[in-house]
Amino acid sequence: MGRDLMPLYYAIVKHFEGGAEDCAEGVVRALEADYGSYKLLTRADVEEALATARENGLLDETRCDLDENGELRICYRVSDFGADMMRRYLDR
Amino acid sequence: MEQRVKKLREERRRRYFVRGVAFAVASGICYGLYTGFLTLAETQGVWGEWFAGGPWGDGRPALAAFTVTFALAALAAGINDLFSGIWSLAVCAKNRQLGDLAKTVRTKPGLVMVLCAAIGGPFATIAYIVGLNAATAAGNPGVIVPIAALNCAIGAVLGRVLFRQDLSAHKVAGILVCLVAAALIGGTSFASMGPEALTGCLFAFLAAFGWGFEGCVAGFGTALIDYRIGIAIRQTSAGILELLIMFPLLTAIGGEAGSILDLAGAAFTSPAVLVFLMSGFFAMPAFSFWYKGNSMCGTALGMACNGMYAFWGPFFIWVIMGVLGIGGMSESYPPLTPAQWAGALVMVAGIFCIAVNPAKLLRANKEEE
Repeated sequence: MGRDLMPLYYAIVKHFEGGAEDCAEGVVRALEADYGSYKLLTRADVEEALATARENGLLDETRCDLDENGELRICYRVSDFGADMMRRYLDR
Repeated sequence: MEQRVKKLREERRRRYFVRGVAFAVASGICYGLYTGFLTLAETQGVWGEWFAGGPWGDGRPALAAFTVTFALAALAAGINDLFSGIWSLAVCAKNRQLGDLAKTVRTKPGLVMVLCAAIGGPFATIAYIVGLNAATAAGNPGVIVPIAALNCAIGAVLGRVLFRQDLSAHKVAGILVCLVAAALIGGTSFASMGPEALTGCLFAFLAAFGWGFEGCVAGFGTALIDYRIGIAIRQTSAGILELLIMFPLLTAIGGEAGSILDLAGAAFTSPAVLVFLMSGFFAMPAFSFWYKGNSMCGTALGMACNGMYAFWGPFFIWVIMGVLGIGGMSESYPPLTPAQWAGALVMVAGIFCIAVNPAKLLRANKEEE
C-alpha cells in the first residue's frame, strides 16, 4: 500500500476529473496498477460507487450498451456539480 | 438489442433502488436494537443505583440530579459510541481499509465527517439520551420517539437546500404521513404527559435537528467516503468527544468534578459494560447503513425508512425487557398497543408515498396497458 495514494473512493471519483467518459470496468482497469491489493476494487463495488455518485449528482450517466460478454455497461461523465465538488473538497 | 439494453438498465436501476431501501430499513431495525440494549444497560449494575437516586458503590452519596440527567447521558453515549467505534474499526481491518481510514481523516471530506460526528454524537445523542431518561423517569420512554423522528423531515429539507436534492409534493406528503404515524406510535402515552415527559420531548427535538443535519450531510459524504470508513470516523470521534470532553465537563458543571474518575471507573467495571458492548454492536450498522441508505436513495427516502425506528425502538424495548425479561422487570414493559402497531403500518404507507410518485405509478400502469 503506497504512502502517497489517496483513498480508493477518492481515486474512483477523481478518475473522471478532466471530463473523460468511462464505465466501472474501465475504472477498475485504470486503478488496478495502484490499488490492485485493495479488497474492494471489484467491478461490483465500483459499479455501486459510480451509481451512488450519480445519485448524488457528482456524475452524469452518458450512455449504456452491452460489453463483449453481453453484460450491461453504463458509462458516466463528471457533472458540473461534481467537478466543483472535486475542486473544493478533493484537491490537496 | 436496444430493447434488451433498456430492459437490463431498468433491472439494474431497480436492483440498486431495492438495495438502498434494504440498507435504510435495516438501519432502522438496528437502531431499535441499539435503543433496546442501551435502555437495558442503563438499568444494570451501578447504573441502576445511579438512576434510583440513592447511595451507590459502597455507600457513596447519591449523585446530584444534574449529574444524573446530563453527565450520565454523556457517559452512556460515550461508552456506547466508543464500543461501536471499536466494532467499526474491526470491520475496516477485515476489509483492509485501515490505511484508507487514516488518510481519509486528514482530508476535507474526512473532517466534514468528524463535524457530523460532533453534531450527531455529543450534541444529538446526548440530547436523545437526556430525553430518553427524562421520559423514562416520567414513566413513558416511548413518548420521545416520535419527536426524535422529526429528523427525517429536517434532513429532507436540508438535503433540498444544501444538495439540491429533489423534494416533490408526494415526498412532502409522505413525510407528513410518517410524522403522524410516529405520533400515533408514541401517542398512547401523550395522555399522561408530566413536566418530565415535556423535558424529554424538548431534548428529543434537539436530537432530531442534529440527526437531520448529520443524515443529510454524512449521507452525501458517503458518495465520496466508503460507508464503513465513514462510520469508523463517526463512532470513534463521537465516543472520544463524549467521554473526554462532554462527560467531564457536565460532571464538573454538576458540581461533582471530584467524582469524574470514580464514575467512569465504576461504569467501565460494571457488568453493564457487556450490555453496552451489545448496544454498541448494533449502533454500528444503525448509523453506517443509515449513511449508506441515504446516499443510495436520497435523504428523504433514506431517512424515512430509517425512521421506522420510531416503531422498532419501542418494539425491541418491549421484546428485550418485556418478553425476554432480561433485567427482570418484565411487568414494567407491557406489549405494544394496537395503536402502535397501526402506527407502524401507517408509517410504511408514508414511506411508500415518498419512494414512489403515485402520479407516475398510474401513468406507468397506463403505458403497460
